[in-house]
Amino acid sequence: MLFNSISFLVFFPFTTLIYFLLPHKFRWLFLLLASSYFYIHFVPVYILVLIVLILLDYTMAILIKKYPGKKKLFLIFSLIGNIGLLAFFKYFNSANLYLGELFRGLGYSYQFSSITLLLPLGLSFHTFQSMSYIIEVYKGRQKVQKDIGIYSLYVMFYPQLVSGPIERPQNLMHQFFTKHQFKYYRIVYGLRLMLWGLFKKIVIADNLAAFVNNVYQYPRAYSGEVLILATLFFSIQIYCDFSGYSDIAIGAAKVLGFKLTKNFDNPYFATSIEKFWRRWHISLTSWFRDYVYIPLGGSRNKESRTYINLLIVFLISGAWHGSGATFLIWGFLHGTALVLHRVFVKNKRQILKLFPFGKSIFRRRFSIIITFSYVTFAWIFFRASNLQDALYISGTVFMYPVVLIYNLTQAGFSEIANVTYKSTINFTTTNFLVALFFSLLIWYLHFFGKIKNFVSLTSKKHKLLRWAVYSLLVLSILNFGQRNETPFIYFQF
Amino acid sequence: MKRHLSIFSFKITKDAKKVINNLLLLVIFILSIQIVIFYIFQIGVTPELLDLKKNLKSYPDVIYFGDSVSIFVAKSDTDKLTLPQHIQQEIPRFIITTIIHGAYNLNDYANYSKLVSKSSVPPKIAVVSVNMRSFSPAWYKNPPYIFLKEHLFLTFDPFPVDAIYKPLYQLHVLDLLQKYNFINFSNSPIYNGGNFVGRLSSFLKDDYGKSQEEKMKNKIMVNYMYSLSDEHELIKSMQFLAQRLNKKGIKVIFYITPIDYQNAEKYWGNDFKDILEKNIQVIKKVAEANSADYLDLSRSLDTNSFGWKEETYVSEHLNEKGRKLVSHAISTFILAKSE
Repeated sequence: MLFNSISFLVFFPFTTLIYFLLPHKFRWLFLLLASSYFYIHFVPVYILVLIVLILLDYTMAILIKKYPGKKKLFLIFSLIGNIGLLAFFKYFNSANLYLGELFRGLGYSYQFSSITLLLPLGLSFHTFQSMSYIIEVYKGRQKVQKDIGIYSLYVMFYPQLVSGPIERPQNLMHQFFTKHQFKYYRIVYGLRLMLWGLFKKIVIADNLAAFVNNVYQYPRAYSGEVLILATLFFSIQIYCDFSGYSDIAIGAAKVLGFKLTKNFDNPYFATSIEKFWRRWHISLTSWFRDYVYIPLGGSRNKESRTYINLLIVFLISGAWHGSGATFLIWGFLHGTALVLHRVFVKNKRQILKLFPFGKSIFRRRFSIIITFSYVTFAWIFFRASNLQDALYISGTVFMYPVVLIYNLTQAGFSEIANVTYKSTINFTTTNFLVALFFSLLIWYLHFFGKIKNFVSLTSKKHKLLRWAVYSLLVLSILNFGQRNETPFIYFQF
Repeated sequence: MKRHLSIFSFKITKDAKKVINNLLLLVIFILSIQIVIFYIFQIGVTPELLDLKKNLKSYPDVIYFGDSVSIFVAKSDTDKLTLPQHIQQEIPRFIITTIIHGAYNLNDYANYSKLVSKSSVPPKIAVVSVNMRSFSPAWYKNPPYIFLKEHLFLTFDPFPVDAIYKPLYQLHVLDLLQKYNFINFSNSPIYNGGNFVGRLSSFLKDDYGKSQEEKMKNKIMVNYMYSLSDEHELIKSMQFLAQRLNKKGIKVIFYITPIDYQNAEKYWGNDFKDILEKNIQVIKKVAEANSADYLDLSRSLDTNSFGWKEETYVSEHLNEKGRKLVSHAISTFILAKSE
């Protein structure tokens, strides 16, 4: 079930109502049933994969407690199971394709045919959540959950089931035992957050998607300026799409009385790539930090080893997102940027002497622009359909300043503007302009208003202004939102 | 208030009351803003409706209802005047206003007749084009050819349905009102005369056929060779329109738009001729029974008067030669009936 669907519009109030009407002892069971229904609404059979995953980690955790001497063995068994399951669904067909090409290239016959399996929705998310439980149990930081119902609910809790935030057991599991009251301020806060998320998804992300999808489908049909525009828009689209999802998830959980981890913190206004990753998809980044980067040695060893660790983490992060080479390059670009940033920080004084950036406010804004541009450039590899397209777009975008200067000397500004306008004319619909307007408004609010939390910000304003703002959000969704229930971008992971 | 059902504990707390009250207030507030803004600025109204409302205030003599045949101009035409413009040129003393949109059919004209009949000084004559293809399920059941917005507006006018149309559409509420969707459209039975020949989906599957000849033959059959009865929903609309306008003293002229019968008979011979004739008789009978005039132009033009060949699909679209002949026939008929 999609958060932006009519089914959810019925499901959510109905389940919330029943949840609060039920006595506390039955609520976990009801949430589990509701979460199962939420999940089987997509592809029913894939709940079996989820059940296998739950049974595996539940059993391994029990065994870790029962046989502490062999706990490493059980942990490895669990990790192999989790990663194996994820790898099978995510990489089998791609790996099979590459192997086939390799074997045929070497002159051998290759018989394995591809399997027609779709990636179970949100598998990357719930395997990571499940793995964090087993690792925490192994480390002794989390008690073993003997109640399989509660453990199942920890993995399947519907607000964060398919796209996170990836929760640690210490943060979520105990909340299932707390009796949540129907509190006005919490309910209203949650509903407002859901509305804000829905607005970002339906009004901004989905309207921008129409333009971005067209351009990225046939990138060779468009000139440099259109490709730059589409890439910039994708940057906004993916932020509004994913942070919109997270807001709805956190808001829905909040209504029910649960507190989920913050997943975004104004990431496009980070002054460095390192800060960007502290603010973008926070639950995944911290997962990689705690369970991959630190176990690899983190920054405790030699500097060169730290660089390698960073590259490994981001290559894994790329692979987590998808099986194509484009995702690995995207991960590599971010890993490299983090290494370069670390080198920069180490030699900051000497570098700043070479490039005097003036006052700190200018330096700060310059850093934001550089970071945002780099992140946006890397999104090309994330969004492009294949490596060829990604290389073409990035090449065109990279060479654009040179082409622009050449064109300006040959044709003049008005002709270039005219060509750009003609290329984008098909997309200048009301909805597109609305998306553009709200994107710029969000940008403005973030940049000048420095808002970190829209709902908290509006909560402090006068009641009339608050009503006006939230009415405007609802009216925009109803009048300018995309009607098609477009899945969230991160659902594919 | 506290009630205990078997497992539910039902207690409306102060907080719950406050949430419910505020949500209700928000819904009412938003609905009011939506209606006020859309009503003042006429945002949700279609251009056709706005034009008609405006034009009815200039007290036209003739109102013309038509589909794309009435506005089509072939690429090769040097004369770019549309059919109603030609009619206007031939009878300049009449003020003609039009309600034209691609894919409109008798259901839509019947809806518009509700607004026309409300006019303080209604037109004297209504010319209603009857496209024989529109009776085929491939047309009148086709979801993109169903103008629900206009239908709701014209049915509930003066209540501003147009103001809440978009939210209702967005929330999929209108899906419940859509009589036809892609499923029942695709499942429509197709007949050749009285014989069932399959479901529409089987024809749409490979664009009506594998060879060009098969495609053309099937398209003609699906579009025209149904067996029309007076139970057909478009015939009901025809009756409604005639009765509604007659009551207001508006003389109704149904004219059957020309069909490229020479092309159709090349593939189907007398079968086509016989079925078409039977179907036209149904229309004539209904027109007569409802005190309306009819003008049968179905076989009035040869194949060289049609412009559809430039469009690559079977239709009744006319080139300039065809438009001149048809407009002359209609204006002569109007003149005769207005005396």
